[in-house]
Amino acid sequence: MIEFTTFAQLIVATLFLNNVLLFSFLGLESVTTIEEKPKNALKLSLALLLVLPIVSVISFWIYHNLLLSVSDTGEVLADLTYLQTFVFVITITVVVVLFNVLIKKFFPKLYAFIGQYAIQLVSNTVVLGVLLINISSVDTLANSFYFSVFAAFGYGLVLMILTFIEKHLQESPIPKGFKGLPLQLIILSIIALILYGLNV
Amino acid sequence: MNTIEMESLEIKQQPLKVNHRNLLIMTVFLTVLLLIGAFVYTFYVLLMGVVAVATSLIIEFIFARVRKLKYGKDIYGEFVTPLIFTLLMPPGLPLYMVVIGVGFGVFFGKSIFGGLGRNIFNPALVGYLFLLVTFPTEVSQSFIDPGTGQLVQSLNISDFSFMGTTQNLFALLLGQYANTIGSTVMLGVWIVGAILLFLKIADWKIPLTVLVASAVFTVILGRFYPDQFHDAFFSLFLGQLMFAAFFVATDPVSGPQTSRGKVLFGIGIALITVVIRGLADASEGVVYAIIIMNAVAPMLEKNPKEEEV
Repeated sequence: MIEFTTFAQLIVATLFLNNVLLFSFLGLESVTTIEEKPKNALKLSLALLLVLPIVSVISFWIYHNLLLSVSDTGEVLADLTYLQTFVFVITITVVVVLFNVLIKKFFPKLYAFIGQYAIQLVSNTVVLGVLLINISSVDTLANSFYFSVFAAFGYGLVLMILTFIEKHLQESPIPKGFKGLPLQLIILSIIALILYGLNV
Repeated sequence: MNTIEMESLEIKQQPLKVNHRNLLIMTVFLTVLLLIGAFVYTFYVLLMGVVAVATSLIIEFIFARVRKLKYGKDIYGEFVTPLIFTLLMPPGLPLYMVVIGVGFGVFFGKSIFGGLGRNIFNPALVGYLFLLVTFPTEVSQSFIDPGTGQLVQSLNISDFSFMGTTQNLFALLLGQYANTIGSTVMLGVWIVGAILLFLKIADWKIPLTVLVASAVFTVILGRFYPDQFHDAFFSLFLGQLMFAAFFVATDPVSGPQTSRGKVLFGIGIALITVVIRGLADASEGVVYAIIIMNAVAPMLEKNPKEEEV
């Protein structure tokens, strides 16, 4: 069992202090695909929230049981970890495609809502990034699950804030050179500055 | 889009949240607070204010030139940001840091978003935050004791040994403890803030919610963590909370417009401030609280029905 304080720390750290979008720059390419609409951000975040924990747990298990086998005394018996990126990408693809097929069959309404964004997760760097952070800094299977859930939450939260701000700015006379992506990055950097300042 | 089209676009969008009379009155009031600060400390404080205003004017001028826009239309708005910034600063800060802070704040907080009345984040706070991250020791250690003129640490929420007596409360109100320029003389903040609310330049909902909610949160959290959260009443007079509640949080541009949004905005500021004060070791929570709520403010304004886009 995890103690409550460590669990609270994990939540705060994953949601804010080590936010995957703000501090690891993962998933930035999706910022452009949601077209400044909060609803699209919600769809993408929901898809991520449903897919990421599954991928995360599966890949964590694969890494610690198939790629790296360690004996009880801590001796490394076999080390195939150089294959990790390759294996993870295949895992992501299989899980995302299966997820799409399954929700299309069993939850057509959900598919109609998030389907367009769920398939995009194959190429979203958040997924692979979280898996790689997972194996390097998370110790148990349960923690990898929690970590991925809150990473998805944190990503969605920042994305929602960003899209609401963008919607608010729609009619502003923003300088031509800063329209679109540059301003998005500046807004994100100011949000990152806030959280970084809290961390110092 | 060529320049003419851009200009016509701006004229169409102009009547938004910006009231030149209010900005002028606000500038006067902030200058009064700066003069009180200069009276308590030295004339160096006044110099900081002048440098800050000059930096803001120069940056806006250059920006207007580069964009080929008419300069001087929003001239009053260019005084408010640097004055608030100066009033949030400790009185012993080197001048070049004032220039860096105001420059960053005005450029990245205001000009880029389309100028006055368009900013999402309060530009003064963006500059403050940048300075706090870049020069953490200088910003937190440039406080001056008003009596002796020595460099000291400012009063923290944890230094509560002085609390509890009316005498100390009066000393706090009259500015005998080290604090930032704007918040040193609490009485001045009260009087000017009250006039501001009376003239309806600032909405009374936000300061009231911030102060009441932070007292309530301090009491509630004090039940569970008595070591971190102390006297709820005195905690309102410490640090920049009072000044920020009256002058920074009430900024009509970066806050929400609806009444419901304003109340939520104030409660959010209070909660984040109290939590940061009690649990984190950040020097002053209210600045973070306001800028975080600035980021969330567009979300608070919307009714759930309106979201169908």
